[in-house]
Amino acid sequence: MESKTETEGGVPEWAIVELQGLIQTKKESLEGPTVVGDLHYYSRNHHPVLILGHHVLNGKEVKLDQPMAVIEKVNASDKTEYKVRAVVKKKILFKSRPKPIISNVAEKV
Amino acid sequence: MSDFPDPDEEYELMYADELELLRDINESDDSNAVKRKQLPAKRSLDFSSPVINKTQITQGSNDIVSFNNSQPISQSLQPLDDYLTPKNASNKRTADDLFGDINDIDFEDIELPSKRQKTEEENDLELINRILESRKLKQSLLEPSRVKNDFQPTYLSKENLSLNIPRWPFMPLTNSDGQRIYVKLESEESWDSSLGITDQTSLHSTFAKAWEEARRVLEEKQNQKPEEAEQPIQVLETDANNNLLLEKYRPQSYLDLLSEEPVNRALLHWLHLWDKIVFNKEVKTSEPQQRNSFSKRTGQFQLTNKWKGKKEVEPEIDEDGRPHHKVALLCGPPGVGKTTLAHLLAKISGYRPVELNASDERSVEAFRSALQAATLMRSVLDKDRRPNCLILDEIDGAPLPTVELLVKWCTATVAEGKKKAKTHPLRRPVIAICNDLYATSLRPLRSVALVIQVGGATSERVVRRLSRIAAGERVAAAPRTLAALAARAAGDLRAALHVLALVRARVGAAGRQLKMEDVENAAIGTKDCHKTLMQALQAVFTVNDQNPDEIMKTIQAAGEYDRLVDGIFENYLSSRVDGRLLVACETMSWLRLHDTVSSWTMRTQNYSLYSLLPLCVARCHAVLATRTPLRVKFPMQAQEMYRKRQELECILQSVYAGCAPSVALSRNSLQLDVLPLLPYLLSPKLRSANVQLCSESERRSLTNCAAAMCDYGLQLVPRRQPAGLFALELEPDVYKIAFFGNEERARPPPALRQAIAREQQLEMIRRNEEMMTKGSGKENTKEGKLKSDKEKSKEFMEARVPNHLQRLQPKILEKKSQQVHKDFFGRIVPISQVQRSDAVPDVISSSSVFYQYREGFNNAVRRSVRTRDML
Repeated sequence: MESKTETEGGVPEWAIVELQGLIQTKKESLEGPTVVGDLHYYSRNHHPVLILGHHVLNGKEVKLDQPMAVIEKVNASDKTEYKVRAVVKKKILFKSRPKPIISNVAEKV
Repeated sequence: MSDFPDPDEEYELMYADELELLRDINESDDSNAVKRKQLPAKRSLDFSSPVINKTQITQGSNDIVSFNNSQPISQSLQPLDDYLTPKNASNKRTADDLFGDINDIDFEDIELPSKRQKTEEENDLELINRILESRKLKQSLLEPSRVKNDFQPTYLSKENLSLNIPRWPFMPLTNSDGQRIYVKLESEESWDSSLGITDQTSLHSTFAKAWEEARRVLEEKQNQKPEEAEQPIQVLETDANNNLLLEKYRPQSYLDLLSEEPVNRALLHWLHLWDKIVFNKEVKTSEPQQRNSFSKRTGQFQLTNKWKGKKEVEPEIDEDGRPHHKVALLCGPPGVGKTTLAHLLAKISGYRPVELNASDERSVEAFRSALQAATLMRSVLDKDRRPNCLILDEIDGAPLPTVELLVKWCTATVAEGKKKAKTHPLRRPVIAICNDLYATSLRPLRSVALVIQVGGATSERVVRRLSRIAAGERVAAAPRTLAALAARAAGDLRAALHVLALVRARVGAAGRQLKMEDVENAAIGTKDCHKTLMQALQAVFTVNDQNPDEIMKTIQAAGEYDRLVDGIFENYLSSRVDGRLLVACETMSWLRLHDTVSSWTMRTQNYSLYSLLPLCVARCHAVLATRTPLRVKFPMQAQEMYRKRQELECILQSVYAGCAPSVALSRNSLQLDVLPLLPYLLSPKLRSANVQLCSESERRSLTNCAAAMCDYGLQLVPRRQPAGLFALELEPDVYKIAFFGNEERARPPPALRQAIAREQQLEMIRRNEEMMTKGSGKENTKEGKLKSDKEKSKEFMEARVPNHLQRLQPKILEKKSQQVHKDFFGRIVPISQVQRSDAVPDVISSSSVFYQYREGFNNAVRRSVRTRDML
C-alpha cells in the first residue's frame, strides 16, 4: 500500500502505508476511486491514525532504510524517458490490532 | 613311673592293647596289656581311652603288618601319647613336645648327652629319663606333702571299661561315636580305701576348715574397720537441727564419692573440657590413662559406645573451644547419688551449681528464662563469683518441648548465635540427670549429650560407708546387720540411709544395739522400683534360688496381669520338657482360673477377687520355672490375633452391608455358608484372559462371576503395589475370610482379574439400565389408564432410548412480540417514525470498505523486489 503526498523541493514526497491485514469491500465491483479510509495525525504526538471502515488503527512512522523513487515511464514518440513522480522516504506502519468503533449503539431494549 | 621299659617292652605296651582287642576284646585278664593309667575320679566319664581304643583297632588292623618300631606314629595316636607316659622314644620329637616346658629343670647338673656317643634313640631315652627324674625331684622339694600321696593306686582300664556287657556291676555310657561303653561300678568305701584317702586329707574337710578360718579373719577385719576408718566424716555443725542423715553425711570431697571411679572421672573430665571457654585456661586433651582401663575392667560400668567411638574419631573440643557434647546426661536408678555427684563435681571444678528440678516449673518459657539466667549471667552475691553450672534434675519428667529447647540451645553455635538474637551459644556446662535414659522425651537429648550411666555402688562400699555413718551417729551395729541393710537397698544409698535413720530413731531410745530384726522388720527401704513386664515374665520362667518369694513382689510390681498371662501363654510350651503334657495341663488350669476371675472381675466390676490374679501367675511360676535360661518372647500374639480378627470382621461387615437385597442373608450364614465358597465362584477358569477367545461355558462362568461380584458388592480396585505397579485387588477382600493364610494361591491371575473387572463393570451398567427401565415402566402403568395404548407404547419406546443415545434438544426461544412505543401521553407511536428519528446517516457503519486484521508477524515472509520487475 502506498501514497500520501508532501512537497519537498519540487518533487513531492510520498509515504508507504503498510497494513497488517486486508482491505476488503462489501461491493462486488469498484467503479472509480473509492474512499478507503481517513488518515489522521494526532496533533499531540504526531502518531498516525487510520480509520478504516468501523476500525481505528494506530500506527507509527518508520523511516525507510533505503529511500525510493516513484518513477513514471513516459513513452515519447522517439525516446523513452522516466519521470520521477515522487520520493518515498518513510512508511506509515499499522501493525497493531485494530480497535472497533461502535458508532450506532443499539436503542434501549 | 620310675622304671621305664626298654624299647621292646615298650612296643608291646603300646600295641598290646590293639593286639589284645584284635584277638579277643573282652576275654583277657592280662595285666601286661594294660596301661598304667590312673582314673581321675570314680564317676568321671573318661571317653578318651575308648575312643582311642577304637581308632587304634582300625589303625592297628591296617598297619600292624607294616608297622615297625622306627616308624613315626600316625596322627590319630598322638592324643594317646600325651596321655601315656613317654614310651615312643622312637618318635623324633623334641623333649619340649613331650614334656612341655622343661625350663623349670635346671640342666646345669644334667649334662646333655652328645649325639655322637650314642645312637639318637638312646640319647633321647636317656634325656627323657633324666628330665622325668629331675622333675620329680623338684616337685617333691616344692610340695613335700604330696610325696606321701605319690604312690598312687593303679587302675586298670581293661578291668574297669568294657565294650561288651560285663559280668561285674557297671554303668552304661555312650561315647561321642555312639559306641556303648560299660564302666565298672565300685562302692565308695573301696574307692576311698584304694586311694588311701583319709579324712584329714579329703578335700571337703580342708575346705570347710579354711572357710571357717577365712570367715573369722574377715569378720575380725570388718570389726576393726570402723575404728581404723580414714577419719570420721566431718559433720556439718551449721545445720545441727537437720536430722536427715542424708544431708549430714553428704560427700564433701571427691574421695567421699561412692559411685564408680570411672563415672566420676568421666564427668570430671567433661567438666574440665569447659575450662577453656569458662575460665580461659588451656585444656589438656590427653586423657588420663586409667579411665580407659577402668572402664574395661569393670564390666558393670561402661561409658556409652558413642563416647568410646567418638573419642578416636572426633576431637572432644569443637572449633568454639567448647566440648563436643554440650550436655552431660547422668542416668541411673534412684538413690545412687547422681545429684550428689553432679553437685560435688561442679563445685570441685569451680562452678556454682544451679539446680532446676521437677519441683520447678518447666514450661518452655520458664525453662528458657532459667536457662538464660543460669548460662548467661553470673552471680553477684557469691563472694568468689563463680560461674554457674546448670544441673537439670529429673529431666525425664520434663515435657518434650522443654527438652527440645534445651537441645536447640545446646546445639546453637557461635556463628548462628551472631545471626539470631534469640539463641545464644551455650557457654556454661549443663548436667542433666534422669532415671530412665530411654524416656521418650529424652530422645532428642540423647543424641547430643554425653551419656554417663551411674550404677549403684557396690555392696562393700555401701557397707563401709554405713558403718562409718553408724559410728558417727554412735549407733552400734554389727557388720552383718549393715550388710543386710546394704543388700536390701541394692545400691540405693539413699534408701539405706533412710532405713538406718528410721531404725535408729526406734532403737536409739532404748540404747541397745542395732539388730538384724530391726532391719528386716523395717517396712521401708526396699527399692520401689518398677519392674517391666519383660522382667516379670523372665522371672516367672526362671528359678529364683535366693529368694523364692520374690516372684510375688515382682509380679505385683509389674502389674498388667493380663499381659503377663498373655506372655505366659505364649511361652509356657517352650519352658520345660513336657512329654506327657502334665506341666501344660497344670499351667492351663491356672491360666483358666485367671481368666475366670479376671472376666468375672471385669464383668461385675467387683475387685474383691482381684488379688487372686497375681497368685495364679505365681502358681504358674511354680510350675514353669526352670534353671535353663529361656528366651522369653514378648507377648504379641494376642494383640496380633485381635487385630486380625478386627480386620476380618470389618471385611465381613462391609460385605454384609454391601450385598444386594436379592441375596441378603443373615450375617452368620453369610460368614459360614456363602463366603467360604464365594472365591470359587470369583475365580473362573479361563484358558486365556481374552474374553473373545473363550468358549461359551467359560464366558458364562465369567458372567456368573461378574454377577456374583455385583450381588455382593465386590469390586476390583486398582491398588498401588510396593513395587510401584498397580494391581487390581478385590475390595472387600473375601479371600481373607475364606482362606486362612494361603489365600494368595486361590486368587485369579492379574490378567484374568482385568477381564473380570471389565465384565463386572459391564454387568453393572446392564443392571442399572434394567433398573431404570423397570422404574419408568412402573410409572407408565400408573399413568397408563389415562393414556391410550398407542401413546403408552410410544412413550415406552421413547423411554427405552438408552441414556447414552439420548440427545439434548435446544430449547426454542419464544418470539417476542414487537415492542410498542408510546409517547408521553400514552399514544402509540408508529414504528416507522421511531426508526426514522433514530436513523442518523452513519458513515462509518455503512462504509463499504472494511478491514480484516491478520494476526502474526508481517515480516514472516520476505521477498526481494527488484527495480526491473517494476519497470
